[in-house]
Amino acid sequence: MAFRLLTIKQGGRVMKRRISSRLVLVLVAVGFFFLAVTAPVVLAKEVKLGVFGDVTGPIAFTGQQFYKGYTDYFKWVEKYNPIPGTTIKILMEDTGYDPKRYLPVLKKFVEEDISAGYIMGTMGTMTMEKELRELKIPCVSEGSGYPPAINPPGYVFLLRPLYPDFLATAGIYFMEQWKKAGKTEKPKLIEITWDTPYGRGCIDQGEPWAKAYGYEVLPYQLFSGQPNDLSTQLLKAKNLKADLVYSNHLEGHQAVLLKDAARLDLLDKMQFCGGSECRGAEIIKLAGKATEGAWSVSHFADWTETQNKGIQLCMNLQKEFRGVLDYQTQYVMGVIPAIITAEAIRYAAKTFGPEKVSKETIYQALTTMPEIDMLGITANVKFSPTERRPYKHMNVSKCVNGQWVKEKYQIEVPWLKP
Amino acid sequence: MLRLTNVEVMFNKVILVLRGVSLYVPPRSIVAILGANGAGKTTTLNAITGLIKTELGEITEGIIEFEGQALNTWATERIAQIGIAQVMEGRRLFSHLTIEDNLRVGARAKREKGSLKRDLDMIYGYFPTLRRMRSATAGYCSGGEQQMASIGRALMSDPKIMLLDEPSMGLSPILVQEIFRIIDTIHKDKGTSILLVEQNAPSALDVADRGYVMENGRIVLEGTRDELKENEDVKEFYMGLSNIGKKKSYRDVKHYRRRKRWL
Amino acid sequence: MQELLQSIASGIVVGSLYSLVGVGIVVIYKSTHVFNFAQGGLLMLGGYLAWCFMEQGGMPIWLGLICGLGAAVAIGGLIERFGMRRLVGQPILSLIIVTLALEALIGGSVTLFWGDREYNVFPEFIPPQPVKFLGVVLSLQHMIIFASTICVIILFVLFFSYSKWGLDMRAVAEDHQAAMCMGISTKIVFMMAWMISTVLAYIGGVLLGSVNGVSTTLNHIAGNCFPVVLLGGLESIPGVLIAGLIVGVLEYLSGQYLDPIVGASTREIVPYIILILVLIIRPHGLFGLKRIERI
Repeated sequence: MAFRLLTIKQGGRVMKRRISSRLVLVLVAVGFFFLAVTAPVVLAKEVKLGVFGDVTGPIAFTGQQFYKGYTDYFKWVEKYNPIPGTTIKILMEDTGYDPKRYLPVLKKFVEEDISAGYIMGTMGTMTMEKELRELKIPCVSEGSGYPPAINPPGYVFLLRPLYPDFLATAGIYFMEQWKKAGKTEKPKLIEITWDTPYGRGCIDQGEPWAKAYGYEVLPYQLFSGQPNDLSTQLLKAKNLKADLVYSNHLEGHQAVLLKDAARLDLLDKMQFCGGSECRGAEIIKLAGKATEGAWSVSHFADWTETQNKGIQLCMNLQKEFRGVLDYQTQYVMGVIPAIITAEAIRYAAKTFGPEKVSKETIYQALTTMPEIDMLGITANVKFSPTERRPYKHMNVSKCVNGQWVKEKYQIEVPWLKP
Repeated sequence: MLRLTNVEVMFNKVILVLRGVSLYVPPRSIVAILGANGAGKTTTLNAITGLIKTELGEITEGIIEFEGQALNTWATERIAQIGIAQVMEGRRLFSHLTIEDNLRVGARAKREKGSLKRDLDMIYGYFPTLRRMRSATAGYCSGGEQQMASIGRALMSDPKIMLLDEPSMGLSPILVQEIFRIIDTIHKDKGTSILLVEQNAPSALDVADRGYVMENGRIVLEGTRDELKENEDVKEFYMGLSNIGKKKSYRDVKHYRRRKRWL
Repeated sequence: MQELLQSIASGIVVGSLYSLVGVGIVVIYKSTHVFNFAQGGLLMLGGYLAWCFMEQGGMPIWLGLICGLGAAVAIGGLIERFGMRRLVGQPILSLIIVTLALEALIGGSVTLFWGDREYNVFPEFIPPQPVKFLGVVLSLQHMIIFASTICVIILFVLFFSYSKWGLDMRAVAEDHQAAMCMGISTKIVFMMAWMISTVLAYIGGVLLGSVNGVSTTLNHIAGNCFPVVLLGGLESIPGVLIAGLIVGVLEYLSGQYLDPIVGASTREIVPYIILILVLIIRPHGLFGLKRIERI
């Protein structure tokens, strides 16, 4: 309308504007300049990572710490040591440790075209491993309680050995102490653990191993939900005269177990040992004095190892991106998969070119790259076309004077056949 | 004492149930409202005590006055506390409470707090059956016992006026007689006014001083007891007393052949 | 033998906690005929409020507990005033659905305000001393839980049977309109019922939280309380106590003796099996009120 009016105003003749050719040249040059400057950013390959976040539900606290560690490491990478030619985007969806939710989230991530993923637990591994084989999306996973995920080797890359190896770690070290004390009879092992695939993860493979290794294996005790009282299970252990009590569960559960053991006066009669989640500031807060002398199997460094390069990195991450050092164990556990994923992307970008970074090349990278330097947080990680477990060495920590300190490093685990 | 002037009641803002009802209950009198089902009698009582508000009803026109105060917007609890007691249709006792507990609850609205025991004794004086049944679960008592308990419960609050909604419903003739006798006694002893809604016209007119006839939400006839008893239409439609002793032809009985004189 | 006694003792303790939560549900049902699905959430909120005042507010323990109590009463009043009162006269199903929504809302709000951390621990106000008798070892916390429940139950039985307010509440539950005609203010009765119930949830939350800290999973205990309430009969307070003890003891006995046979934990499903049996055999529960119908 306005144009019309203009032309009428000008007496019915449309005036042609002569555009100077010099102006055109200048505009084109400026355009190319901007293109050149922004090209690396605009043309950089966006690598999307999908996090199956169990940030609500039964492992909510743990999951939230995992997520914090994971994202903080990537922030650090983007800031101080970016992978050339790529930008990383992290997508997270709440799966709540609820088996119904993983596959829908996976579907969503597939639509977003993720190149790699991070699974926080056994539940996710169990429900998704078949799909991941078909979709060919490589995922690092905390879920060490589901052996079929890695046998035959598929697209799930574990961040630690399977749970039976955890039991073996405790068993090997305890037997060492037992023999050193000159005892000749068989020590008795009992598991008091959470009734979930995670909690039961050590039983099937671990107990036959323990028997072969020289233990008398007592019938395992399960409990479900969020218990307030584990005295019945402990009394069973007492009556059967157990020597080593192994539990594969979270701090809350272990705290109840230790408190009840203190009440029943069992702390000096048997050695309590928990899995790697039973080793943080929380459990000392919850169980107080009852934690003294308790063990925890672990695959990674404690916050108290301030000389450890990896721990120093975690401290810097917390200081820079969180503003506060809260020494949560699971935070470090979240950094581990981030390091592995970042290094895999870096290797893929270098070997195949940044624009070729995708789920296929990341898978290639994970299965063929040389050892990943984990800065001492865990043993160095090396997968292979036939192996999805990262390393063979685990540690035992002990609670001494309200702190978790390393009791024994580098126990070589048997890598029990899945 | 209690006066309704041109009261209109509408439910759900759509259904007009009372269309300009005006009536008056003098002090120390018994007034009866007669009418068939669906005439609007219960709605009139519920409008007075404010219960229609819990059924999405409202008074859209007119005033309900009690001793000079307009009750249109008052809450039911408040109305109960100024001396208006309602015995609802179908008794509406608290079924899982005992008879005595029901009576105790009745005393809540009493204006001057007196001795609970004395009040209970008074009620048992009027209704000896209740004394026998005092610890029985109210829901399991017979209809007559429930009706007595219901009236007794209303009486515990020492009301100035009692609104009785179909006290004879579901009762045997002997019990109906008994109950009306007791109502009369109470009225004479305590001077309580009574507004009595009934379908049982003969019994109602025996005990009332004045009466109104309602149809379709309107008052269509009013008068003293004798006037109503003599009225031809009342006799035919509400008391079944037409053509006594004469032979009746079925053709004459058909209602569409016979219009009421007040239409 | 000692295991059996220990199982029974632990079962009684856990059962009394169920009863305590259940009494809150029964009180509201007795007065308003609404089944309060939000009782678990209120328990969790109560625990968090106490924790908030004691830990975050840094108050001395007694002051923190009292402030928490005040907050609980206020919340009960607010729920009734703005949630329930608007629905007076509506079908009872609507009100029940509102309580469901309330449960979700409380769960989300707790995560929103106090989010993150699991295992928020109270400052210790019950020393963890063991209490031994008959070869059974319990903790002082357990004894206090049991004692509190018994006190609360006795208090409420007396309240409902003999006090004026208790009678009013029962009358309102029977028939709102008839109660109004008697001069009873249903608004006040509802308000009281909700406040009482929230206070009970608060006590439950504090006791439960003192065992292992408050966390966002605290409301799950209500899942076990619903079968308890239905077993006892929705209107019966002594019923809730007995039902709670039965369910608690059965849980622990099955955990002790059935688990080895089945090879997995049976504790969690025991209350629900009981629930199904109750609904089939005796729907109004052990001590509930039968529907009185007259033809």
